[in-house]
Amino acid sequence: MIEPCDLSATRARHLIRTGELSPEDLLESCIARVDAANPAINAIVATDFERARHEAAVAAQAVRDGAELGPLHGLPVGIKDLNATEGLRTTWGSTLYADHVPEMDEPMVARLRRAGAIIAAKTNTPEFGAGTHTTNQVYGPTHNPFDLDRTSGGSSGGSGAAVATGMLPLAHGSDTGGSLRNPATWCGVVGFRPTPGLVPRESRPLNYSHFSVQGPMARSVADVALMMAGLVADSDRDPLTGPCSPSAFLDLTPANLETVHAAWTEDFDGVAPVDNGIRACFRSVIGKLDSSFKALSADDPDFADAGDCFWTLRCVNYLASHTERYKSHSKKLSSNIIANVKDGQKMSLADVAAAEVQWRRIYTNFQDYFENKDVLIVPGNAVPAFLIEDGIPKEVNGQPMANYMGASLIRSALTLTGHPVLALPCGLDHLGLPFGVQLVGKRRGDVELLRIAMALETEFANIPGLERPVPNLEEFTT
Amino acid sequence: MTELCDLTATEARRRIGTKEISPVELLEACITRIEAVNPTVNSIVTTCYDRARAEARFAEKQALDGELLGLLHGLPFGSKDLENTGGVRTTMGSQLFADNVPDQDQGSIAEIRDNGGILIGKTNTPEFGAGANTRNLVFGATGNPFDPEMSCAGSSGGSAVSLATGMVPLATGSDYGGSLRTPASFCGVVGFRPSPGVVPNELRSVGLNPFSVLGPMGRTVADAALLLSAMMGDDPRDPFGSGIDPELAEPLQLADVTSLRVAISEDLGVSPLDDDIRECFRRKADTIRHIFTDAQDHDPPFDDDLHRAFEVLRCVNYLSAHGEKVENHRDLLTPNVVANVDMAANFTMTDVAWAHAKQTSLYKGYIKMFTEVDLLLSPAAAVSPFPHAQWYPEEINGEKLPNYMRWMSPAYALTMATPASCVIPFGTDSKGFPMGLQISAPNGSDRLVLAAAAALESVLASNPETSRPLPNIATLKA
Repeated sequence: MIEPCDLSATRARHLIRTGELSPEDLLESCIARVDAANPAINAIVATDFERARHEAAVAAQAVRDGAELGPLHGLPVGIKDLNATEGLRTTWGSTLYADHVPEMDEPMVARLRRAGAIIAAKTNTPEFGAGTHTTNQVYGPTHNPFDLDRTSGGSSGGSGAAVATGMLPLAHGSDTGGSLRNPATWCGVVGFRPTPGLVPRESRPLNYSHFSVQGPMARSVADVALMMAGLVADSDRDPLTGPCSPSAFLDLTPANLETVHAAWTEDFDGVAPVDNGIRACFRSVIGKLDSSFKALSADDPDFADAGDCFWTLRCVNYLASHTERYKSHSKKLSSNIIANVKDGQKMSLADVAAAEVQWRRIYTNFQDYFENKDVLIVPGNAVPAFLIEDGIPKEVNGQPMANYMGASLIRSALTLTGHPVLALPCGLDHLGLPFGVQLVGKRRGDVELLRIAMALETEFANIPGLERPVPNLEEFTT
Repeated sequence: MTELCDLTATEARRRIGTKEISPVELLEACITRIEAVNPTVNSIVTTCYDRARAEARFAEKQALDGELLGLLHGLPFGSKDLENTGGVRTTMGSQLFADNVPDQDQGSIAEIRDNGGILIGKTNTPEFGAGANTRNLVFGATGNPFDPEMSCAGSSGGSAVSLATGMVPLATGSDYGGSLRTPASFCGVVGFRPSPGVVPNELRSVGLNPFSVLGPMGRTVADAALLLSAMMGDDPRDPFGSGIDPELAEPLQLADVTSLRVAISEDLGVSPLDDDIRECFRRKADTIRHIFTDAQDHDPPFDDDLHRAFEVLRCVNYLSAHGEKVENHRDLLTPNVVANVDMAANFTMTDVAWAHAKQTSLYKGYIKMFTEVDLLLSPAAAVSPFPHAQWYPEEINGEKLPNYMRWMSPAYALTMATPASCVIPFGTDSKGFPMGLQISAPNGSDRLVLAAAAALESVLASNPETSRPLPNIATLKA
């Protein structure tokens, strides 16, 4: 029999409403799974089960009372350790904040609570979210549930691994250069990077940077859509937000793929480094989708200069966030942060201006490129989940990478477009590790993209070898 | 008797709808006025009468045939010469573009024309909009309608003068550091700076900040709101486009000012302000304090670092947009453009990162102020109109100013908080030149600001001390 913690969030939410599943039983099932699987995985780094149990009891009473229930009513949710949670230790993966317990939720977390979520745990992240390997000096690495010697990806790696192993039905993450998408792909779950401005982030260090966004992770597309209903809002304090409709994300139906114009690109015309084994997996997936869409064609967007552009603008963000910290505590910071800050300190205003010009060109060209398309399909990663002992992907097909984000261009280039991107798992790669694709939708066409992804998810489930991979818990649970 | 060209846009549009006046008559009245006063003030720099006449005849026929008429059906308008107008010369006020005729309208102009607006001509601007004195090397200076030797401010100076003198009922502008607001103040008309994204600008040069916005000007708030409702749009090519706010598309209602709490700030805590202007503003503000539920003297939480943040970020924009032009054509460009690009060499990426972080904190401090007040009232300009032969005011109250921008800080300080902001006429200063009242609220409060501005406009109109001053058209006729 399926345990409550393995139910999809939408199913669990349905059973909570009908009274067939109590929020308390769901929470206890999740706690039992955390106890069993987390010692090996290290995805969950702080918990507040006492408060969660209390909230689950209140949530159960609300169901019995016939109260109006929020879209996430009674669902345990994990919050990435980069976001402040009231009374629940929040370290940013940094020894500088190892004992930091916020007095208040940040507004994003408070909104999830208002939608009925039970904030049960914090999920691991690299220090300040820097990089694709979830490890830090406070908590150590998060292990990949499919191979404990490998990384879970990052920076939302704790969330990816926690959701993949059934510790939580839903988890929050954030994404600048792919941090929702990369761990989703490597852990075999769904990660959704929404259009910037849809999910407010009042504490974003740069008001007007579109690159860092907040989003959901879960085991199905319907589940990430459900969580979006608790995340989407219009906030005065985040100037990128605007009029929106959270309820538009509820009860989505799959799109009819026979009306969908799809395109695919393997590496943006050679711009993004992609491992040859991953290329072969991707081509095989595309080959199996031949008759799924109204149209499916190879079509490369123009991402020339995207690597330089992304790295330069990323440096601006890092300098804004870490300059002071670097001055006073450089010895305590991870090598990724230091690399980003040091590179930034060598650059001038003119370098920023040049990157802005590149960005405008890339952005505008992409809008034109996307005009007659509904979805663009791209590999989910450039390389298979790497070994924890390697630290970062240092090379691709024998070519050394310029910096720790070098192998991430297949994701970070898409960040520059301002479009929503969903990471959808599909089978295993040539090493037997989870593989996935990124689906890019129309700008602000988030609902439409989710509907397309739902249909494709069903398509994958029906094609042998493309089903969502599920880790073998018996190998590491206690 | 009021001539047709002196009607408000709202009234003219009403009469076109009821067939009391024809778009052809209205256009001819505007052309007659242009021919009479433009030789003196030089605000319209390119005309397209033939096309406008053909469009007016067609608009007349549509009205007579009882067709469904657009929001601006049959209303002539002027377009700032920084905006691409298909088939109509667009020089950007630059010798480099003296003969430039764009192939097509930019999005905002296309929207206006789709809504029935008839382009009558281009309005003068400083080169690339640099600075708030409308003077360039292609067309020379635009004169203030209250004394043609004096500056009309800028950079949307041609639009403000054309409105003030009845040449057009509506005109477009744009605003980075006050370019919709300062000329409205100097000429006694209305300029509205919308929140970023309300009017998409697919041609913006940089994407990391939204300080430059497109917006409407009119002789009344209702006219500016009417034009805004036609300019609004949704274009994914502007990364700050946030979709259409349905509230803003509704007809404008007056706010109940008696229920509003206002903060009154003479210098925003950071702007140099001419003593005489300060005295006039204080006297006029005292005439309206009593109408609000609460009015207190209260500066926004700005500090002197604001100026540096503004200058650094403006350098990023200028270098991105004009760096190559300065490198290749330095001798053909106006001093403000060259100075702004040259200034960029002084700054590093660390300065840019600092400036973005500073802007973020200014934005947040500003938003926070509005938990206690609904509106901020402040002067729109720091000085009385100065001779346009001078590129910019070099000193205020005997204090030398460091650059061509500083005197605009009553407007640009607010730009750093990216508000919705409307300037309405506020009587005259002690020299008899128009003054403007700047009404601001946070990003996203466009509706509130317009509704409050419209209500205040009628309050101010009842007192000669604060009513809209009218230029003497007879003395301007050549």
